[in-house]
Amino acid sequence: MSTYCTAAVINHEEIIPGVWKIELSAPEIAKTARPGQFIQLYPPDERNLLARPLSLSSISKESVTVVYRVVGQGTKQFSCLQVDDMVRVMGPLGNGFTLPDAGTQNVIVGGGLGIPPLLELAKRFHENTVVLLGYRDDPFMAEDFQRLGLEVHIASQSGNYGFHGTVLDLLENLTLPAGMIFACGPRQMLQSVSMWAKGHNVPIQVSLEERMACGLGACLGCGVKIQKPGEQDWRYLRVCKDGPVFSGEEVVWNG
Amino acid sequence: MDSRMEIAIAGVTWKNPVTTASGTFGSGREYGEWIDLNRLGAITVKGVSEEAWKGNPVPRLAETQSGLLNSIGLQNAGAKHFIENDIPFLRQYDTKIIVNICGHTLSQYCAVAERFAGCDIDMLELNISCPNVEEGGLSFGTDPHVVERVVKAVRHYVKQPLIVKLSPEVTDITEVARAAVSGGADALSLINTLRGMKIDIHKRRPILASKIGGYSGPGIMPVALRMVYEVCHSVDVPVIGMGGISTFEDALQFIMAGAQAVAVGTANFHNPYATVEIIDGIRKYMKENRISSLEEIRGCID
Repeated sequence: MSTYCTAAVINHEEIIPGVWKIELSAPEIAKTARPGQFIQLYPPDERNLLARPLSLSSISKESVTVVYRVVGQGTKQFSCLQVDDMVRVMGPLGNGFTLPDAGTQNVIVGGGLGIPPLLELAKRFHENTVVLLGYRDDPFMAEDFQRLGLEVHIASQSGNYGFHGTVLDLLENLTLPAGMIFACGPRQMLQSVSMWAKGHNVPIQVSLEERMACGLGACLGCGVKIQKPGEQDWRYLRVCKDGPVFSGEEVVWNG
Repeated sequence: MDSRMEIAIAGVTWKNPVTTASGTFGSGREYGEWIDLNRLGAITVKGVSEEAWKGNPVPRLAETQSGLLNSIGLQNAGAKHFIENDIPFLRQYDTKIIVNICGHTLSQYCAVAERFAGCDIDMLELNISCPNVEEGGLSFGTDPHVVERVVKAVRHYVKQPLIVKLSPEVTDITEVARAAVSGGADALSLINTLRGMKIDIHKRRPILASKIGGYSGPGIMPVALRMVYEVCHSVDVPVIGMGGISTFEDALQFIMAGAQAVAVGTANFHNPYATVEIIDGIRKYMKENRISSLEEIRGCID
């Protein structure tokens, strides 16, 4: 069950320049939230009508945490929020990841701002899990994954940190056969990883992003082209309600 | 239920004057998780075409100051799917069902109207004002002569009271309103969105994949209110006012301008409770001002 409420800011910090982590006191949301779901966070200035959809990076008993990059007016307003400020929020929304059977060899693949939404998922895995994180330049939140005791591999495109390359290179270097891939990141990365998964016959769940208005399935603004097995043609499904997590094989990546 | 809030449009009685603007509320299913759909005077559903339409490419949305641009392109699963799935769903609730219909050609409009002729719905809304489809839609809604001809042709197939939804993209809205009435409209609804645009200066391209979309939200309300006022003074059929209504104060302005009822649209996107809050607000206003019927304030602006 989703809730629409006003939540207090508990923690708020800039983790790297322009990227912020905000923790909100929202017990009602936290109670039912699952990894891969998202919240709609409302800019305080109501002239910005629409909430911003942000995937949950952590869920605790009383609070939820999201990570965002300042890109426009709405996120700029978020960055000015102080601890104890109140902010309107709706959630949890969307389907979330489907957790695999015990014993599955999980591979978590995150790129850039797609990394935080995978943290809560990683917390649910104790073993049989490899985490592959890709950054353009300097890493962030990698230690949150390392702290979980999981095997973490890092790549950066600049070569500044970890392996000089992309998560796709890390995937190629995997020594274990992957049982299920969970991915979040830029569309181009998700497409490459989905192609890799298809080539290696590994099921993959991808978490997608799209501009949203309502966030609850009514406006049909956040379409993604999906073609399910046995269907003649693709159709637009809703990232907010049918997703944001989809099977990577069912996404029509080109076009 | 409070009978003071009741209104009638073309012989159909609503329990209160608040409905939803087509395209902002789906068929109510998603909002039913947030509000009691029994509270609404009527539910106006997202546009339905004869066959399924895929809709426009994404991005389909862009936020503006106090508004929203959309270019959904009337994505819908078609009349057959709607009749089998959405009518039974909506009939579980004590509210009126208004089906918004759309087409690319006159014959498609007639076909979908005919499709609904035998269906258990309360009213039909003819969408000749959507800016997001290349054929049909807006192109049928701006020339008074075409409007009259289209309404007359579709009217022939319609068995329920017919609402015609008007576009604001005209020089004289009263001319189009009179043409729709002359063609056989039992009621009018206005306004649909205004065409608008937003450009990303860093990428140097429009935000919307379709470049141009429909502009809605609080930013258009003064334009909508003026047009509703003008139309209410030029035709005798009831008018459903819409365009940026977000609060009960907004809704009351439309009623004072002469609207029989109001529709809440974009506000649903930023507040899923907008419709019921507006209904509660109108009731409270009536009580505080000792108004026993909306007739006492309707059209009070000369």
